[in-house]
This record gives sequence, C-alpha cells and structure tokens, in this order.
Amino acid sequence: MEKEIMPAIKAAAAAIGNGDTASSKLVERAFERCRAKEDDIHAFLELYESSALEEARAVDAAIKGGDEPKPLSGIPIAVKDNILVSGRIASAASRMLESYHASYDATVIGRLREAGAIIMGRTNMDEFAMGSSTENSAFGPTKNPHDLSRIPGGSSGGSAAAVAAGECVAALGSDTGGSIRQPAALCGVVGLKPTYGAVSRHGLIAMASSLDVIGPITKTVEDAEIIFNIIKGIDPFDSTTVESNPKSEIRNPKQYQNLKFQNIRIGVPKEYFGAGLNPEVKQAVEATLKNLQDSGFMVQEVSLPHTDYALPCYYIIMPAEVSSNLARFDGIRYGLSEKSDDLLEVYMKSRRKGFGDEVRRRILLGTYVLSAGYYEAYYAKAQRVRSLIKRDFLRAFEEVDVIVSPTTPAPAFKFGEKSDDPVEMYLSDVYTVSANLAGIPALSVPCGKTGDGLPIGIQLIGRWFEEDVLFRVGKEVEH
Amino acid sequence: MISRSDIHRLAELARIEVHESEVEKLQHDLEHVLEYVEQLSRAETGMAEALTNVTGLSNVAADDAARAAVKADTAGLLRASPRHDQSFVKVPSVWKKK
Repeated sequence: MEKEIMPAIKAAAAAIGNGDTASSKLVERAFERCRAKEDDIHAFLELYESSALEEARAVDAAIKGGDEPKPLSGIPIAVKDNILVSGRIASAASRMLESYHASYDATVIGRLREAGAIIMGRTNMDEFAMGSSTENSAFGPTKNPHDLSRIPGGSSGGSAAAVAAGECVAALGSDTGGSIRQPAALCGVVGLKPTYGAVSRHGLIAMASSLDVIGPITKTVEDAEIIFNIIKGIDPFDSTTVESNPKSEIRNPKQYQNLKFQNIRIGVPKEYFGAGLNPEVKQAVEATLKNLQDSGFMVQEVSLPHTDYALPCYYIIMPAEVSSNLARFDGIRYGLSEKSDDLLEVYMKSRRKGFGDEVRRRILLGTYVLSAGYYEAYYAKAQRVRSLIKRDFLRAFEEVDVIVSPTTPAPAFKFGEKSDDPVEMYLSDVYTVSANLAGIPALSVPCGKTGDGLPIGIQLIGRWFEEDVLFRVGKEVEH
Repeated sequence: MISRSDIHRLAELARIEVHESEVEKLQHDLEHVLEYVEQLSRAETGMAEALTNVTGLSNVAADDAARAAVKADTAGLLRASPRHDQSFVKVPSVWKKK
C-alpha cells in the first residue's frame, strides 16, 4: 500500500550518493509520515528523530565532501525492539525491560551502521517475540495499515506495519517460528528468515536459541537481498554463526549466478494445501505457481510427510528453550525489580510483575516439559521428531530446489479474534515453523489480495544457505 | 491432567509467583496446549536421532586469549542492574537471619 512513499534501497542510495537528493530529506520524510500515521498504526515504540536527522546530515556532509557512498548511505531503517541499539531502550515490548538501556550495539546494528544506515526507531512486537498478532505487547497493539480493525501479524508486527505504511525504507525483525514471514505476509511486504547461523544473534534478546534468526522486512525482494548481504556472516561474538554449512547433507550447492529459470525446480508440498487453508489464499498461491510455471520454472508435487507434527514439535521445543532463556530476568541483573529482603521473593515477585500472560504461560509450559518424569515423553520425543522434519526437507531437496507454500493459512484476522485460545493463535504459524525447526531459509513475498483488499503472502523455502535462489524466484513472483 | 498443585509446583520451579485466582485459568491453558502437542506421541520416531542443533557445529572454542565479551564498558553493564554499588551488583542476602 502506498509503496511510492518510501523509495527502494538501490534507488534511494544512488540518489543520495550522487547528490540528487539528501539523506536528511529522506529521513525527514520518513518522520513526517510517522507523524501522520502513528496515531492510527502504532508501529513504533520510540522514534529517534533528533539523532537520526543528525546522522543523516552527517551522511550528506560526508558525501558532499567527496566520500564514497556506501550501500545503505543515509537510508532510514527501523529495528525490532528486541535488538540492542547502544544507549537506547530495548524492552522486547515487556514491562520487565521497560527501562532497560542497551549497553552495546547488536552485531547486525553495527553492520548496518558501517553500511551507512540511519537507525530511526524501535518497533512494537509481541512481548519477548511470543505471539502472532502484537496483541501481546505490553505497550498496546500495532494495527494493520491495510485495515485498522485487523492485526498486523507478529511477533515482528511493528516492523512489518512500519514498512507497509511507508514510515521507513526497511526494518529488521526476528523469526523463531514465523515472526518475520507471517507479519510480512499479512502486511503485504517482503520478509526473509535467513538460514540458521547465517546472521549473528549477538545483541538479540534470546527467545528460543536453537530457532531464533534476525532478518529483514522490506518492500521488495531486492531490498531484502541487499540487507541480508550486509548483516550476514561469521561473528566471533556468536559462536553459532557459520559461513556455509559444513555438515550439510545437501548435495553439492550449485552456482546460481547465471542459473536459468528452466533449471530451477519448484516443489509444491501437498501437505500445505489441505484443510484449514483459506480458499482465497489457496487460489492466490496457486495462481502465482501457475505464473511461475509459465515463466519457465519446473513445478512438481513433493511430500513432506511429517508436516502435521511440526507445530506440536515446535510448541515443545520453543517453550523449553524459553523457560531456560528467560531465567535471566530475575530482578537482579536487568530491568524490573521488586524490592524484598528475601532473594527468592525478589525473583518470584519481579517475574510475576514483569511478564505478561503469554510469556508466563510459555515459561510454565517449558518448565513442565523439561521436568523430571516428562522430559522423555515431551522434549526428547520432540527432538527426535525434529530430525524427521529436517529429513523430510533433505529428501524433498533432492528433487527440487525451492519449496513453495502459502505463508499463512488465512489473511489478517481481527483484534481479539484469537486471544482467548492460545492454540488457535499458534495455528497462525502452521506453515512457517518447519523452516525454523530445520534451520533452512524462507522468504515471504506478496502474491495478491483478498476480495476485501487484505494482502496474501507466498512462502519460498530453500536449502541451507541458498538464500540466493529464493531471491531469484522471489523477484519473479513480484513481476 | 494438570492439578492445582502442579501449577504451584511449576510456579515454584519457574520462579514466577502465581496468584490463587489465576490457577484455574493456567490449568486450563496448559492442559489445552498439552492436549494439542500430545499428537506427537503418534509419530513413529524409530531410530531417529535427537536433533538439537541444525548447524552441525560442535564444541566451538574461542581463542585462548583475553577479549572483551561485549563491546561495552563495565559501568554500562553494571548500570543495567536495578541495584548496584561501585563495581558490584547488589543481591539480598541468600541466608535468612534467625
């Protein structure tokens, strides 16, 4: 919607680089847009207007002085509130961290800055990235720019809404089970969940560490590609980062630089088109597949037989990791702290007051599945199922190069529609969690709208470290 | 079935106070999610290995040399803690006075 308000990265960077326009003008325009839209949308928790304008003017002066422009010189980018920006509050949309100031930049922020980007504010999200609608934010929900009575998706709902509303050129999100792709699909923008380990998580407030990834939310596939190429790579501060997958059982990765469409094989998993899929979404995805086939891609059916187990598997592994990761919020080291002379009481009361309902629910659930007597039946079993889900993809990728599905089972729903039933809400992620469990990259690209004008997203899933192929196919979907 | 005492026990393990008025709702919610994930028991895992890590990395060791764990000064990190004194984080006494 209103895509013309903010330019694409390449055009904007070129215009700033050759002096056709100034970064300060672009950044001012972004804040103007925020002033016009934020009362309705509430995509941001905080705007850094004065520092952003100052940085923009510095970029303009440097370019005027003859400095070589950088790939993101002067481009305003919004950041999800669980990514640390030095000196700024990083609250993860939780009362627990409402007044916590980050003491360093996350690696991704450092890389964006080195590339010339202007960090313009922090965006709303579900508390600690737990949710699919931003209704779990402690600071009020974000609204979908396409229909203010509907949710923008989540947990990176603020980032997706900000891009969709033209309040920034691009944004960063994080994706543990679909938190980049699902809001991108529901807001009609592009979202990339990179390969696990491709992008450093140093400075990301951890949710479930075997699944979490940082990635871009943008208006175009090319913009996602530009940002991904800037933020990816090994980081000594995150020992889970890898350049390429050393033990990947995937066959020799091919060179995709000059790959013709005719050589890219697209797989359509029949398990992703069954019961529960909204007919308009199904129709839009199938029409897009038909177009891809007409452009020369080979399209064939594939099977991912353990698909039905992905969401239940995720809802054991994720809360288990959540219960462990969020143990650090104890009222002692960061954030909210309830006073007491009794140490145990400090823990119990601070965590009671600091965490919202969904966070508490997941911590208790994680504690349950990890406790003695249940560990084998739940957590150990889920880990074995996880390897079956990965194996499904390994087999499918012997036959095809990209797997295509809907990103979400339905378009954006209304506020409150799924708040009373946690499992109903969890089903929003039914098509996205598998890529996190297997660690593979997945890209959501807009592929049409419903009769009511709500955006629909198509998901492209690739082999480990083959984001390039997804960009290639994604650009074709955009045409 | 999740009993009331299960909720109290989990709250204690997770270090989150749960008020008496919230127990029933938590029982219901947790049971509902556990019923949903129960379907995993039908999955035939056979000899499938537990997958804990998708990168294939194991035992990543840092160089045996001193380095900053983050690019931040001690004062900045210390400021994040709600109660601190000079270079220490303050914690209530672990042992109770008689």
